[in-house]
Amino acid sequence: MNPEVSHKLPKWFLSFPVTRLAEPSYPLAGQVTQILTEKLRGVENFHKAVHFAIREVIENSFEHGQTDHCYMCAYSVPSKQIVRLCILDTGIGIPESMITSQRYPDLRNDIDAVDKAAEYGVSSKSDERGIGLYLLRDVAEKNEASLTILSGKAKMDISKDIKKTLLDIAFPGTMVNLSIKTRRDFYYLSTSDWEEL
Amino acid sequence: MVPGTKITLIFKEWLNQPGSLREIGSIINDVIVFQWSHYEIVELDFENETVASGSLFDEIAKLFNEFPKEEVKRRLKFINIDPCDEHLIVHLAKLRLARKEVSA
Repeated sequence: MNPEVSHKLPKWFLSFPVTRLAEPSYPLAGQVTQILTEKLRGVENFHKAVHFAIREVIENSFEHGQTDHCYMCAYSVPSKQIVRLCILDTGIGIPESMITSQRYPDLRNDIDAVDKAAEYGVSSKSDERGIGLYLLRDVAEKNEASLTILSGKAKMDISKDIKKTLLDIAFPGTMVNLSIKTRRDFYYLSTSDWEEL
Repeated sequence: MVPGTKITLIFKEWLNQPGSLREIGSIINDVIVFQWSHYEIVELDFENETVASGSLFDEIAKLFNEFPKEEVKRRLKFINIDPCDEHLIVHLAKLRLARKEVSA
């Protein structure tokens, strides 16, 4: 796959058009990140965070969504130093995945399921997993980015605050929408080296 | 294991394997543990390629569940690694260690 810069949007946009992904392509996240961030100035942490976000969300779609494809689109606005990306699948969705696992019998509704899935170490697969959504949530909260997770009847909007909405109609699958802006003190995980551990 | 010995493994040779990144990380974890029975130090050479996968690196961080922290730090080394990948591994290792402490 060769991601292309769109020439149909205004020239101040850099975009990766809606693309169907049939597998979690390893090089794709890096290619898309490069397109989106090449004209963004600012800290290197930001580019790495975007790379990480794309990689993790695609991986989650295939690993947990029980789907054989997902869709992704993204764009950046260099003048506003912002990147927006959206990844969507029509798999079983987070609530169904969590309930089916029978690992968390106290879940009352879809909101509980999505909230739980974004905790560290929580996964529908086993106790020894559950990182992607937790780390994305961490980056969003600390950088006042905007992360929206829509799955089943649950919609969570995560930024400095968290807003949880129980919808009347279920979304058939999972959508993750991230809007993230560079900033001088951009936070991306611990800055310790291996030797300092 | 022979003291003073070291083996260098090329990280990206695993990245083209079939399976999810977490599955690949699990294989790498198994390989490290296996090699530790023969070599004192296992070195992962990333050849300056960015990985940026929390799932894969979390499988490496699981080494801290099985072995003492100082032993893992001493016997596992990374070379030519993107600093942000190193920070991600450290971040995940800290989470694993904190969880291990709570469980103890």
